[in-house]
Amino acid sequence: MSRPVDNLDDALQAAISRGLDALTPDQVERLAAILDERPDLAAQLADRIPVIEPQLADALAQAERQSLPSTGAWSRAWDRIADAQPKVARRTRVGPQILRLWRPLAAVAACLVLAAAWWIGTPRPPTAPPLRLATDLEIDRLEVYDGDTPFVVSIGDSGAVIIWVLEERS
Amino acid sequence: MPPLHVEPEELRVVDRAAAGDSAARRALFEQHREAAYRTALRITRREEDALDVVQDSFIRAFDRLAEFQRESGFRTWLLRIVANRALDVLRTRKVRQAVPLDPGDESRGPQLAAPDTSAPPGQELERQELAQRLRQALEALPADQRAVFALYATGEMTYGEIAAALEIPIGTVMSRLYHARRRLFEILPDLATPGVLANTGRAT
Repeated sequence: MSRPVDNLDDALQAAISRGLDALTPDQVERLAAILDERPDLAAQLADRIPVIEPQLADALAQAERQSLPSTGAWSRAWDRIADAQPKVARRTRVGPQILRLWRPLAAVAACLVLAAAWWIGTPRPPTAPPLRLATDLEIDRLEVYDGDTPFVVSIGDSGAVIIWVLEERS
Repeated sequence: MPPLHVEPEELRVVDRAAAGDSAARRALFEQHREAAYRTALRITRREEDALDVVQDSFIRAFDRLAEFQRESGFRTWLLRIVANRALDVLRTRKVRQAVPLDPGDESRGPQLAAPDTSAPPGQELERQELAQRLRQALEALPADQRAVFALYATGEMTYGEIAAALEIPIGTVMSRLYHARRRLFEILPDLATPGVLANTGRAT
């Protein structure tokens, strides 16, 4: 027969060392109320695994053995669990890692195709005429305002020609 | 007592399962399904509900493997999910109680494993009789005490883990477990350790 303990400190130590059966119902209620309010005391019990008597564990195992599902029932249960797994998880089973990248690769390829189509279809300006030094040109009169670089647009037989007039430096 | 040691091999399997490895998931299922089922059965008391709880719990566990903190073993973490799911079933059942289930629909229940026939006939009868009395005693427990007892009966969970699983304080775990055990042993004194029921007086 377990000896009843006298105070709550002893009750806690008895619960830890001898198990709950060392306590009276009244001690358990008072100790439980204190532990619920005192996490520091509860921590002393937190890491303890309450002891289960072998005869109780055996009786439970026996009682539950008769209720265990058959192999077929377990197999069907697993099938339902496997069916419920997200598709992203199952995809890893069916092929190499590269298969997981098909979406980003397809997106990149589509972008390249669009860029190529745009490049081919966009009209571009004709090649600019080359710059050359005008040697056989005569300008009769030139007015310059505020020191801006003057230029002359001359429209002749060969089309428009823009002439920049550079200050001669010696 | 220190927390349960977590085996590196188990962590490797959990890692593979978290990455979506179906074989690893199946290995976890086969290793822990019975403990999960027993826990669910102790709380729900119905075989068909227990198997549903196990299925739901594994599905949830695999969905949330990234949240597994590895401070305890996978089984402890799984049983926490099982206990909560089983309690959900109990709450739902209370709501549905006004609508009785069809007792003739036997297809709802799982097919059960064959009974153990290894023991001599007389001994087997005794065991079956004790098992029946134990089931009845468990059914007589209030649901809150039965939930604590279900996790305690795994023999693997600490007070702290039971408290965390059921989201109740440690003192409440202690109190519910104490009363659950006393009620069981009052009904089944042949399972009690001598002296368990002796401390009935008031402390000074």
